[in-house]
Amino acid sequence: MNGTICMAEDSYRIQTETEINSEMDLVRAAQKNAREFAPLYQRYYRKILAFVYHRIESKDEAFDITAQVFYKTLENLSKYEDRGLPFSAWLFRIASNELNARFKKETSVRMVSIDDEGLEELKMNVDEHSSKESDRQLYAALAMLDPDEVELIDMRFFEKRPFREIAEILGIRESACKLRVYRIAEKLKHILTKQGHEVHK
Amino acid sequence: MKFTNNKNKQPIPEKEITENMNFDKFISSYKPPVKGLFSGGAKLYALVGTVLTGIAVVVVMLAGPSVPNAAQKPFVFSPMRSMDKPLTDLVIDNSKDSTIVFSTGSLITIPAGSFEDESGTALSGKVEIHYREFHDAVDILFSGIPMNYDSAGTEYQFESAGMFEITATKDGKPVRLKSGKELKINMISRNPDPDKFNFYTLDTVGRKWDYVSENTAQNGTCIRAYEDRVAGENDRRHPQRIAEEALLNAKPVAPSMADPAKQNFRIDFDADEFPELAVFEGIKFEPVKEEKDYDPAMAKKTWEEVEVKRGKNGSQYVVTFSSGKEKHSFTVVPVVDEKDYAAAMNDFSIRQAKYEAMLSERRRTSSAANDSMYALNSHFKNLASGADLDQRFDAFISGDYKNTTRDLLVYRTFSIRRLGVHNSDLPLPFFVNESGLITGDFNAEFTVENENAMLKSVFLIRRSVNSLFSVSSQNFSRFPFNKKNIDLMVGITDENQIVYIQDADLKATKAEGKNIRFNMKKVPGEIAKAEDLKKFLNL
Repeated sequence: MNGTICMAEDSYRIQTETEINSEMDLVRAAQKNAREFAPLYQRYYRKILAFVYHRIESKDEAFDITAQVFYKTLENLSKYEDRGLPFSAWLFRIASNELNARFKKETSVRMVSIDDEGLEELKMNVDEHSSKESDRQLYAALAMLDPDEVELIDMRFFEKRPFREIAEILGIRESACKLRVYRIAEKLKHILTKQGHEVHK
Repeated sequence: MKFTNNKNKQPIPEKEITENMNFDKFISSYKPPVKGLFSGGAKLYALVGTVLTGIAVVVVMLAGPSVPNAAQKPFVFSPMRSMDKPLTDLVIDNSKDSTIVFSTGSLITIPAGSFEDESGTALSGKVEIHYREFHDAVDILFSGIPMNYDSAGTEYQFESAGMFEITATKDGKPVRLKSGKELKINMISRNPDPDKFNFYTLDTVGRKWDYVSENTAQNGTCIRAYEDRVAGENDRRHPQRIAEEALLNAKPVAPSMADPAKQNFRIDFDADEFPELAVFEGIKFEPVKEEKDYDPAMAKKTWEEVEVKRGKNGSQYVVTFSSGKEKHSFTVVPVVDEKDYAAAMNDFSIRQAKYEAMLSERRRTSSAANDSMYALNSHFKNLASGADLDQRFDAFISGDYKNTTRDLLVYRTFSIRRLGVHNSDLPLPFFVNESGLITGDFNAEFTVENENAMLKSVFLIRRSVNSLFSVSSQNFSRFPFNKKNIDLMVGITDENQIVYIQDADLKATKAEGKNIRFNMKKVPGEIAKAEDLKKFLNL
């Protein structure tokens, strides 16, 4: 394996009910004995590390946060219930909460790792023509969004997560997820227009 | 927040990933939490005390003002009546369908025959409607409406997207909604979230909130107040551009005194196009001193076309003489002869003062942020005129700390079958951590500007959400405080003084074991209205 973290798009696919059920067997085993947590840990370690490192500058910090995520998962595993969703959705949520807690305490800085392709797609959604100046203005507009709005844009455009996965992570309906992304794009358009930037249709 | 390009981000070497991923290392460093008496999702807070005959365990719900004789105290009780928002009185004819447009732009639709008296007799003629809305923590705080919600034994606090109270009377006597009749309230809301809120109704008899249904865009009960752009903001047809142009054209121009050494000339211009010049008797034009190429003979010649345009700086104009291919343009200023100058300046002073007043009024009622590019949602056009709603929305969002703009407003559509208090809310576990435990269990004491004080109640507020948690004095010995979750605390003393502690002061408050002391500040005495308090506390 090469020295890169695999992107969400490479690793996500919809789990079947059989797969979710078989994963629940692993969860139940781990609930009885922490040492039985190993298969789940091995299965999701890299994905959580990728999720965290995408949002944090330092790799040492990313390792530290990832470890914390799995400690918290193990601590609260007794409360995990089968709701027909993948176990990974719960893991990502714990990771998200852990990151948000650090950002709020200002012990870590939120990094938005822009992907060129994702940026172009975002620009299309806000009717932006391409230029270095418009990139700067878009970053400034992104910085004016609420943290949870940035998170949605990041997951959708720069991590390229499907709406279904984002919805599972955030615990909302897929349709609501799409609507929120649309609303945030509208908000970005509005911010850019207020900044005096001409929006091209 | 920082931005970086993925290309510039160094991938983590595989060797390091493998080292850190080691499960044996992970599990050997994992320390499971020590289980206490009340861990594992306890939802009730337990207090243990010792009595002569043994140990008694008392379980108390932390549900706002929890008093032994709670039945005697009204469920809704304003902590300070003078700050409580008053009801607005409106009148309808019960024999006709009515739509009321409230001051905030909310729409109340009342079908004919909706009301009956308390004996069940149908009513005819006038019925008085009494209505008020609550859109922020100050409104909610002084209403005394409890915002705690119990769902299957777990206590939550409400984050509100807006709340209203509606009652009705006839000749001062309470009336009720007839069975089967439904009022529709399209309540305006600053919170545009289309998915997370639900409708609740306050049951003052059962002393609880009842869940009604979801309040979402998907089920059609959360609708944007505006949709569809009209002209783009840079388009000259855009209302903002048209208004700006009209304002610019109306700006008075101060005439200069004509320089007798220079040539000047008159032009017949359209008074409608240049009203700021038309008011001056005997106005002429004189080239500015920078114009070296102006030949006085040009003014005496007959030209096919003479065009006047406004210059860039507002007090200058550009005159263009043209005949065939010959064309000359000059920058000029309006001048009057010395004999007319005093009268012209006097007139200018008067019009300048009027213009400044008009500009102030425009700034007060409108701003670039509020002038909308959007058309009112066609859904509501048959209920109220767009221009009327625009003004009400502007008043509603004027000065709110989130800088809400019109296009973010939504209507939350309630269909109600009983009068009273109705809310669009999201239950939040304000002080409950992932394990379900209330975090922070303190014996709280309060001082006001370093002097001991008796507080009647305290409200813990998180500004980013419309949510507040009330703690009455009976529960100060079991005070739930988590400085991560709140950024403002407001209290009311026994002398009805409003006190507060916020932001950095709140974060700096440290507990000594179970004891915690909050040093509050007094709200200045000149703040006597809720609106002033909102601005003061940045709510």
